[in-house]
Amino acid sequence: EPVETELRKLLVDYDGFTAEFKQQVKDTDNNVLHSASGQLVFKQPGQFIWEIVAPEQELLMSNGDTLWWFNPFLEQVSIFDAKDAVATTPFALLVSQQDEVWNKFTITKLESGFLVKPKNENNSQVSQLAIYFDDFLLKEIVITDRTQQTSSYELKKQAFKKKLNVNFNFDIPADIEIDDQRPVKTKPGK
Amino acid sequence: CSTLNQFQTAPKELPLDIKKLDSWTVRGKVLIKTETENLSGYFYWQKQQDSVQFSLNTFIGTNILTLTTKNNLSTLEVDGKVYKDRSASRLIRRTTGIQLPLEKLELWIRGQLAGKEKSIIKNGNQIKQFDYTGTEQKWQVKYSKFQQQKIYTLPMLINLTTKGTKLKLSVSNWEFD
Repeated sequence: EPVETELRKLLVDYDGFTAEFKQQVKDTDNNVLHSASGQLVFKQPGQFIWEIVAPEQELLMSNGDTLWWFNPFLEQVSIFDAKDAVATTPFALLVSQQDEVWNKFTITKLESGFLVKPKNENNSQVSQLAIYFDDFLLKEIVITDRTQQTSSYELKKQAFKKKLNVNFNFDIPADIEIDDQRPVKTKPGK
Repeated sequence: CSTLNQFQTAPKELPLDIKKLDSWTVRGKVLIKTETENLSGYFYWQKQQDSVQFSLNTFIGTNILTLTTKNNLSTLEVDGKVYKDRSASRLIRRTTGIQLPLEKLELWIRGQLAGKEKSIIKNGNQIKQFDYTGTEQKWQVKYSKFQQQKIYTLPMLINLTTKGTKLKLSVSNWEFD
């Protein structure tokens, strides 16, 4: 069974999956450049919430069609097509079931996880994404960028709730600037 | 208990006047708005006696740019390219078009003045606002939130504006090694 199928089969069960995470960004000299904490929700296919709670709120939410990136610090929300989501945030891959999205990556096996690398590296900030499981439980996600800087997300309080009723549609606060990045054709007077 | 102290490695005495502090690390978030561009990210700014490292990173932890200064040579790494210059401010201006009084910023971020600031408004000994006219530009700097960090009261939210450029700095933590 090809490694990609093995990983995708594993991820299909991450439906109604919630967890808290601690993020730590380190440069190649091991300096801690940034640390944050937050929570995530995965709903197959294509729906997710990736929310940073501290030091400052920042939110990524996708309902499978539209991705909202809410940045209170900028008093702005950016809106993307969900199918372009993986380019802005590799986590979107973990809930994607579209072959055309997966075909952009090569997947290899790690000792306790999988290594995901974009086939076309030069237009992606991320040079690789490592996904670690602790006997089938998603434990850690590590993003390595082109400068070999790493951003690791350690998960805890992982839980599966099949019938999770969470709203994946972001309602935009009144006084927020909207930065709509979607190609014109998909905005039917919304 | 004096013997106890003997074993404790005495933490480096922090100078009362923060201006005398020669090494620190500050992290937070920055927004740089110009007429043409909105650049924002999480910054890591480490100052040591003989070197400075400023790293700007995205929400998912990938690097946007890194500016290091050592033995008064500044190196900027951005988009896989490397630029060098004797002056960090000139390097930033040359590569991004953004004019930043970086040497002054090292003091302003600690709520300290460099000396040529004008129309200074304070409450108590805490700075609220001032103007600064650099070589080409006039900056208005406003402090809106302060926080206690060890023996210092330090700014948490700073807005710096000049013609065509707005900078918003939100500080999340300090380290005084």
